[in-house]
Amino acid sequence: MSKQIRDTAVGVLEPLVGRAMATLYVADAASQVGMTSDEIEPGDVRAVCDVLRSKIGPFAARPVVDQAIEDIISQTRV
Amino acid sequence: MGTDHVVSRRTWGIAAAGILVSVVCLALIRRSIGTDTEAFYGNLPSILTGAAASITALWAAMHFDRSEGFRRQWLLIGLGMSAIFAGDAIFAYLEVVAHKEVPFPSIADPFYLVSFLLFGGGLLLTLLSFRRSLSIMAPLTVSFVTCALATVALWPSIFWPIITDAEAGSFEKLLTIWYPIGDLWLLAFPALALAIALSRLGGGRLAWPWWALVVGFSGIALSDTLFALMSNDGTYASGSTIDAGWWFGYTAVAVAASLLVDVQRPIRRGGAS
Repeated sequence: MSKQIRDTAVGVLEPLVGRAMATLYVADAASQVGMTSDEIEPGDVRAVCDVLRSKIGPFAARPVVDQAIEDIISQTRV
Repeated sequence: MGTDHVVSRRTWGIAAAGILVSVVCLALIRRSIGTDTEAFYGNLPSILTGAAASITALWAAMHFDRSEGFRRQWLLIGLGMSAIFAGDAIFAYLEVVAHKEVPFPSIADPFYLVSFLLFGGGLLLTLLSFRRSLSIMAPLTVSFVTCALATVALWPSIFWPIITDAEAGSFEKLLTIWYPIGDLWLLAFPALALAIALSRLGGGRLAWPWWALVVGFSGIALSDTLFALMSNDGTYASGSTIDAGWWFGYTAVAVAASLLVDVQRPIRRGGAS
């Protein structure tokens, strides 16, 4: 499940910031919440998304950020 | 997600219209060399593409909420394009309507000169807003070194002749030297730093408008530099091929502004916004 969550988050962010930065941002966000990107569990998704919001915020208008976060949360819901 | 789902018809239309106007006017200039209409065709694309760029950039800025950084960044860029448009309109009036040899400095020059400050401010605000998510120190350093080397390279052909011009007064020299300084340090320096910083976003769609903006400012800076070199040689005339760098540059700024609105729409899976 954990790798699936990482791949989903990267998949949502990739069209916005490219594969390399999407992977980096998910890894950074997971690390700030105290885990690696392979260890994100469904219960951690909201916390990881809060960090991701601040990462992509400078590049994206609020509706785009909200949409990305909503997509990650809805696609990783168990 | 393909570009056809993100890029609007408006953006494609602006790009096509800008290219069409520029190419057609270049052809018409070639056919009208030495006639009264040469100056008209030489000035027309600057007016049309400059107006399109300033209107689109200001419209894009107002598209965003006051709390969004894009609003301030694009207001400055839009005001910079408006200043260029005002300068071009005055220049065209003097040359085409009043049939005067445009003097230097003319009433158009303050508008051109202030545009550098507005563009530089918009680009630096953008770079600073990215600092939380991208490393900007390395791009700033690389860009600084590049622009310093370009300044040294252009010193004998552009800067030195201006400084040592015995016929020009101090004020005229100051105005003249502001152009290459503005191009190098207020346009090229932040634009190159932005391009290097954004290279980390790869093909991510949020980078697309900024790529277009960098292309546009590069075109403007290139034409400005060639204009300065040709003016020193006495080989420049309104409607020269180098003017196309301004026209395509203004078109790219208009495309960048329209693209910003396109990519900043939330897009549902399947392409619907």
